[in-house]
Amino acid sequence: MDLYGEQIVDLAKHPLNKGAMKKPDLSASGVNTTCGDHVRLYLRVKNGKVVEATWEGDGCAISTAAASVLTEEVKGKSMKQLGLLCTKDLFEWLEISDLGPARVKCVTLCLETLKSALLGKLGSSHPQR
Amino acid sequence: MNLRARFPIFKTHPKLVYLDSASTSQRVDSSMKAEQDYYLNSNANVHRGLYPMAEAATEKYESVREIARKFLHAGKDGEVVFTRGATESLNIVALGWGRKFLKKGDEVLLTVLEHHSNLVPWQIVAKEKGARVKFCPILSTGNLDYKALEKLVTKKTKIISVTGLSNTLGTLIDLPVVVRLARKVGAKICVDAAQLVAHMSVDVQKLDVDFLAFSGHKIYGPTGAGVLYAKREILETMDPWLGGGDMIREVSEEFSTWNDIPWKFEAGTPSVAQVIGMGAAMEFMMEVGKNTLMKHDREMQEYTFKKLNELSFVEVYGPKGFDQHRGSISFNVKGVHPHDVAAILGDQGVCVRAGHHCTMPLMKALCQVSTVRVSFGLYNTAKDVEALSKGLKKVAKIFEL
Repeated sequence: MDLYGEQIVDLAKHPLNKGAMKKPDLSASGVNTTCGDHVRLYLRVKNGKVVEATWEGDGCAISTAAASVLTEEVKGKSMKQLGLLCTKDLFEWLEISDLGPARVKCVTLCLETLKSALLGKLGSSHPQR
Repeated sequence: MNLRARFPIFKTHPKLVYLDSASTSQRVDSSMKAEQDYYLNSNANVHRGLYPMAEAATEKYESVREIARKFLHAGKDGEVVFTRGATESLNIVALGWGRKFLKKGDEVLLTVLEHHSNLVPWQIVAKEKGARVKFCPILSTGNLDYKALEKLVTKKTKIISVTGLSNTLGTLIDLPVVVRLARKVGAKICVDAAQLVAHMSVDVQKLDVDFLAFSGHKIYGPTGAGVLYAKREILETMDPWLGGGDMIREVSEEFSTWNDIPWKFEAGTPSVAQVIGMGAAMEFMMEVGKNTLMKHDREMQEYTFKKLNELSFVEVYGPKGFDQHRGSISFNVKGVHPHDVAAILGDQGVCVRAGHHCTMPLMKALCQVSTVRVSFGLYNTAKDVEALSKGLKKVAKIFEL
């Protein structure tokens, strides 16, 4: 029950940076094949650093909150810094400590999608279980 | 009869509120015992050994065919094939019948209510053969659009494969109407009865269906065993879909010949223990009887609809009348993702399913990405529904609805 703390519920009800971006420098889509959650991530990059990040999609409170904090946190970061982001960072930003195997994917979907965007991949990414 | 007492899981977990029986049911004591008895007393492969224990195993395994025939009210013209479950049964129809008889331009008619297991095999075969898969839509009530169905059935329709009872919405299908339409154009009729057999007594002779599929694990038996019922004359014309042991008569380096039906469709060592367990589960279902089944279903769903209606933040999908609905109820909590609802309910010991329930075209028709689904088994009581209602109030509290 701790999972549904104030921050996650608040971000689920009022997501940050949600919306499409016209002519993004980087973008990618991700689908969680087991539950149908999907996310599309857009990044605007200037001088090697992220200046704007938005996302579109549909998912549970956890994945909505994760996409919100991720698009907040990537602003100002270099491509190299983005490449180093990991699940642990998301857990920290979301102020959660542990998630069962079924829900961890809710957190990692946006991160996997970000990695796809960095690789310049188009289409869907399939996060590992 | 205290039905709940027949399910040992509730001795292990007395507080368990299990509302996910459409996914898989809990196991009845007699089914578990039958499986264990086989392992303890007559464990040997079937149709092979010449020693007494192998003969006992074969006899037990084969005796389940007669139980299945009784369970389905099958006549002399019908045959029972054992499979690993309804999915495999439906694949046999698509791969064994469809691959042989579908031609370019032919049409396979399904409904948007179908579980992926009665959809994907047809897509695979249709693609191979240049046939088309068509879908009958539903009305906003969640009932099948029978007027649209009438128009969709044409001379090109070679088979109508339809669920008997929707796993997601609990919509009952008026099978006699569908069969009549199929017969009008000479199309075959296949019924996915995975949910139907758990809630109603099925008479394949009265229904006059060509194929009918179900799984043992949704009628309180083990996983890994199912049935394909088919008319003998159709089975005789079909090619095997899986090669291996037991399905052959003779094998040389150049060619093989096939065993008689039904064994022609049972390649490899079958799920012997599970089939025996499924036999006990079917006997349990017959012992319970259709009147008790109906009474229990009616009580459960009427009470659930009542409790859900009391919650203004809940939106229920699908038909509500008892003549149109059984077993599963799909709903959403407005503004909260179904996975969050299911997770919060789960934390309170209430087991429900959230997702697309392997019916993605139906989700599209409902304009939902997913739903929360509760589904009933014979062990459920009013207390379970009250726990659900209490749990949903907690969801509303967390999300400040």
